[in-house]
Amino acid sequence: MKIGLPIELLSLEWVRRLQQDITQLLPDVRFCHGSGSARGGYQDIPLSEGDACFPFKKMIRTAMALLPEVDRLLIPRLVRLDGHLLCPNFRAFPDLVALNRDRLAGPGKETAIIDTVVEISNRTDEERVRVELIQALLGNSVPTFSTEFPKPESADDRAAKLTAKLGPYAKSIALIGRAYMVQDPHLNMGIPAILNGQGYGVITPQDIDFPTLDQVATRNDYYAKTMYWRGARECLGAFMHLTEGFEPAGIIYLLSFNCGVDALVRIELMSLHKKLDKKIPMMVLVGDEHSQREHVFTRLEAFLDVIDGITTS
Amino acid sequence: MESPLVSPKAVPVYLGIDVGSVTTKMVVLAADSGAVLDHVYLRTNGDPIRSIRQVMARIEGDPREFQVLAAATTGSGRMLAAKLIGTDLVKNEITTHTLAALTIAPDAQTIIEIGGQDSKIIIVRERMAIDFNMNTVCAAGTGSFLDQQAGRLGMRVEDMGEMALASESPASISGRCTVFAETDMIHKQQIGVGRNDIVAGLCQSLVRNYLATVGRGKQILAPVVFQGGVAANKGIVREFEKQTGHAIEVFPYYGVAGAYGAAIYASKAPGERPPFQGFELLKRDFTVDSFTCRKCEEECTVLRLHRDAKAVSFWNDRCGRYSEAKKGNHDNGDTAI
Repeated sequence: MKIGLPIELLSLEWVRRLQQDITQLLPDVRFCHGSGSARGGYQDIPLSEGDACFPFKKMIRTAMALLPEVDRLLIPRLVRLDGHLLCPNFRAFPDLVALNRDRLAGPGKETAIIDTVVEISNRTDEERVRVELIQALLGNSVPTFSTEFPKPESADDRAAKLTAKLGPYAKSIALIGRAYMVQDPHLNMGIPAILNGQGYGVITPQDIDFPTLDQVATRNDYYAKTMYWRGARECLGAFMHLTEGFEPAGIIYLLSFNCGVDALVRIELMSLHKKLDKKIPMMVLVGDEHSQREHVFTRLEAFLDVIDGITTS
Repeated sequence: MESPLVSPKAVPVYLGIDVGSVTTKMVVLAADSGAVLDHVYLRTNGDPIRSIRQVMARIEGDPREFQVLAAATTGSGRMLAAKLIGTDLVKNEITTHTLAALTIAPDAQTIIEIGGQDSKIIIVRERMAIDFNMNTVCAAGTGSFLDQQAGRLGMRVEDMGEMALASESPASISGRCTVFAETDMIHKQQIGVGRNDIVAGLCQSLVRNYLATVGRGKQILAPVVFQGGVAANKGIVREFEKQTGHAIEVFPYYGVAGAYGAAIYASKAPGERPPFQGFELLKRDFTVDSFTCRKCEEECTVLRLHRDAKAVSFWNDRCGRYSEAKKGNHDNGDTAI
């Protein structure tokens, strides 16, 4: 069976683990992810995308391009992970794909969409959701399978990976942003590769286990500013964790556009940055504001010059 | 590489070229004293090759016989300029403007720069740039918008500053967006508000917009240096002084500050530079075209420089397939189109 799983969703660690588990349980299943280039067969076709950011629109196009190629399209209705809410667009995602599938008389019209609701706050939720998902994928032909899933990667394993990742570089930049922005080169405008090319290692929130970031972010929960969005907690926790422990040479906050949540995170991070004892250069890059890669490169080059120290001497 | 003959009278200089979206600037810096020996500010008019050629012709024709020890380029057209004059010293505008400002005003703490389509703020502390911001998709408040509005009001952009200073009651103009600003200006004209007041209102709104967007969250401390072509507008300078509460310093060469910074950058380039080849531009035919590489999903727009109808250089490809190919072993792009 060929299962379509948009490549953009793989930026979420939970989805990656889900794919691993399904592959382990059902060896006959083959996953297709699409190119994620937003240049698929629906490039020139106007789709119903809602008032969404570019990353979300891109994900809809990847899903639409997968429909004719697969037997099932797996796009879980992601509501909550690790006890925290995801961007509301994720829960509308299956509806928008179904809307476009039914509206356009193209191939893939018969492909089933698996949109199991994902609300996970603990291990019990996680196991329940996975069983529901696998049952939904296989319909009536559900084989007996174990619910003993592999344990997630430990904090130590992750720390070792980070050490290996930064090993070749003398300096590092903390690239803070939502997982899909930081990991998708079509959305992050090649920033990690450019920084690597300039001799800087790149640390991201996704290099650190979420429970650690969540715990650190809790220190900033107060009154009306409690960050209850998972992506926001990840960014906030990463900023605090990395500036306290790693001392990166610079910090870049990368966002797609100033949506309500990201605008709030931006203000929080700028405020925290002003309070740092040690001044670390920080730059905010908004993806929607840069249609040309050269503009991004100019800013990165200047940012690295600031880190190295622009002086006439 | 063949070394060109150098006259014993030749004056050793460093050259900085700033190719912007609207204007091309050049500064010739004396190698011994650091003095500005010549500078040019001309309209790019959408043809950077022609404007760079004009600059080269001026340097070559100077009776002082300049010997260019090193040249650096900056501005949005810096890569093209570097290819055309054959230099590897290419620097972003933030850094070159910082170098220029700190050379003229070593104690500067804030640098405001407004050019044809770019505007920037650079925060300096203890003679080191520590933060900066640039405008992005919105060119509100930049020189090209002022140009456009001057044309619409039937005046020269150079006269706008004096007109603004003559106003005692600036009109209220929206600074949020140039489209709204223009709508407001038309409305004010229709109801009979004087041109001086409209121009003064425009200056007021553009500074408000700059401080709210480019300068957002930045601590503006004196001394404040104002560079870029828009610094010529005294109405804008006055508004900056009013709205920031600081004296604004506009130094000579404000219009060519990027090129000045590039020349300083060239002067500090380590090691011995290869002989300057920029005058080749005057003797041979150079053209640039582009093609879309379809070797991968990136679909880069690759730029290709032709010298005498032969492709000699490529850039703007992310993977380096063309730009980093060994000389003489270029895929000329035909197979990629």
